[in-house]
Amino acid sequence: MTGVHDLRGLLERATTDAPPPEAGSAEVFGRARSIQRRRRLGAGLAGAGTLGVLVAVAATLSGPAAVPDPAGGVAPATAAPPTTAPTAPTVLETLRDLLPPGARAGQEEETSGGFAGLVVTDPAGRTAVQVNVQPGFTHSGKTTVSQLLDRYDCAKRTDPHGTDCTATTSRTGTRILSIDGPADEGGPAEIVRRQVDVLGPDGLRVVVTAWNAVDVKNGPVTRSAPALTGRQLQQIATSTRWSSANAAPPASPGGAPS
Amino acid sequence: MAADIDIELHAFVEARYLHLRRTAYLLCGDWHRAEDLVQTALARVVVAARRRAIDNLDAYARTVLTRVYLDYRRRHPWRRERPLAEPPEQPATDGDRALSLTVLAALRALPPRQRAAVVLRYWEDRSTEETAEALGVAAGTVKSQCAKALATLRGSLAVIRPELSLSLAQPAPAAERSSNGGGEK
Repeated sequence: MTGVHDLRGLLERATTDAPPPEAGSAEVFGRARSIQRRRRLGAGLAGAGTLGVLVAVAATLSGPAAVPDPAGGVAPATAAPPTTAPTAPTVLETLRDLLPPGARAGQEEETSGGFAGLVVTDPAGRTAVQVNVQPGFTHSGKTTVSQLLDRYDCAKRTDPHGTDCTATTSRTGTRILSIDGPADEGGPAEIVRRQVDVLGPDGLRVVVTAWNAVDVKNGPVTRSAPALTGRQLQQIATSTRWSSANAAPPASPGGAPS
Repeated sequence: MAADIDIELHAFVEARYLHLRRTAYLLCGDWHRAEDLVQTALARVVVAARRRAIDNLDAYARTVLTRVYLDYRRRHPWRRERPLAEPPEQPATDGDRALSLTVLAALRALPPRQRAAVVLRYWEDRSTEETAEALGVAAGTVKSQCAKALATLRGSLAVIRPELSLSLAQPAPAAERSSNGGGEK
C-alpha cells in the first residue's frame, strides 16, 4: 500500500460523518435561475436606459398610482393567501408605489413572475433594488412556516463575515429576517447588500434587496450605502399589497408569467 | 432540446451532489459552507450547460467547484484560515471521529491552493494534468504543490498521530494516468 492510497483512505474517513444534506437539486436549479436573472438584470440595467425611460413613461400614463401602504403592516392572517406568483409588471408597479418619498424609480427590469428590479435614485445617487415574491414558499421539501424557521435563524445562516443579521417574529406569525453586509456577489468587496426577507404564516415570502451599486455583480459602487434603509425595506417587504399583488395584474405589457 | 438538457442536468446533479459535497467539505472544512460551495458550483454548471455543450460534466463540475472555493478564499480574506504553526491538540474523542478531526486539522494547515491540489489528486484521484487544468496552473506547479502539501501533512500528523504520518512517508507515484476526463466514484 502506498502513501497515496493511505491518504485517500484518511480523506475518505474524514468525510464519513457527513450530516444529511440541507438542500438538493431543487435548490441548485433555483440558484441557476437566480444567476440567470441577475445576469439579465445586469445586462438590462446597463444597456436599457432608453427603454427604461419609455417603460416608465408608459407606466405613468397607464393609470393612477396606488397609495403606498403607510403603516407597512404585515398581512393579516385572514387574508386569502396568493397561490401564484404575481407577474413582473405587477411586482414593479407595487414596488414603485411602496418606495419612500424622495426615492425615484428609474430603469427597470422585468424578468420572470414574482421577480423584478429597478434602479432607485435619490439625491445621494443610484442603487439597484430587487423584489422577489414567492407565494407558497417551500425549501428542501419544507412547506410550513414552523418548518422553515431554520432558514430564518441568524445563527444558522452562512452570510459573509461582517454581515449584521436580525430575525424577529411579528404578532401575526410573520418571520422577518434582516441582513446588512458584504454583497458576496463576486464583485468589488465594497459592494453592500441590504435585504429584508419576510415569510408570512400563509407561506407568502417577500424578499426586498438594495445595494449601493447598480451593477451588483461587477460594480462600481455608486454610493456609500444603499438608497433604502433597513426600516424602509421592511416596510416594503411587509406591506399588505403583496398579498393581493397577484389578484389584479396591471395592464402594462411585457410581463412574463412564471 | 432544452428539456433534454435539463433532464440530463437533473440526473447529473442528483448523482454527483453528495460526492461533490464531500469534496467541498475537504476543501473548506465546514459542512454548511461546503453545501453553499457545491450549490454555487452546480448552479453555475447548470447555467453554462444550458448555454453550450459541455463534453464532460463531471470534470467541469470539479473545476468549477475548485475555482468557486479558491475564489471564495480570495474574496474573503477575513475568513481565510491562518495556516497553523502548530497543529491543534488531538481531540479527546476516540475512533473515526478523532481520526476525522485529526486529518481535517492537518488539511487546514495547508494553504488553499495546496489543499485543493491534495483534494483533487488524492481524493478525486485526478491526474496531474487534470488537477493543473482545474487549478489553472502548470502541471509542474501541481507536482510541487502536492510535494509541499504532503510534507506539511506529514509534519502535522507526526505531531498528532505519528502512526498516520508513517503512512504518508512514501512519495506520490511518478507515473500519471492520462487525462481522460472525470471518472465516477
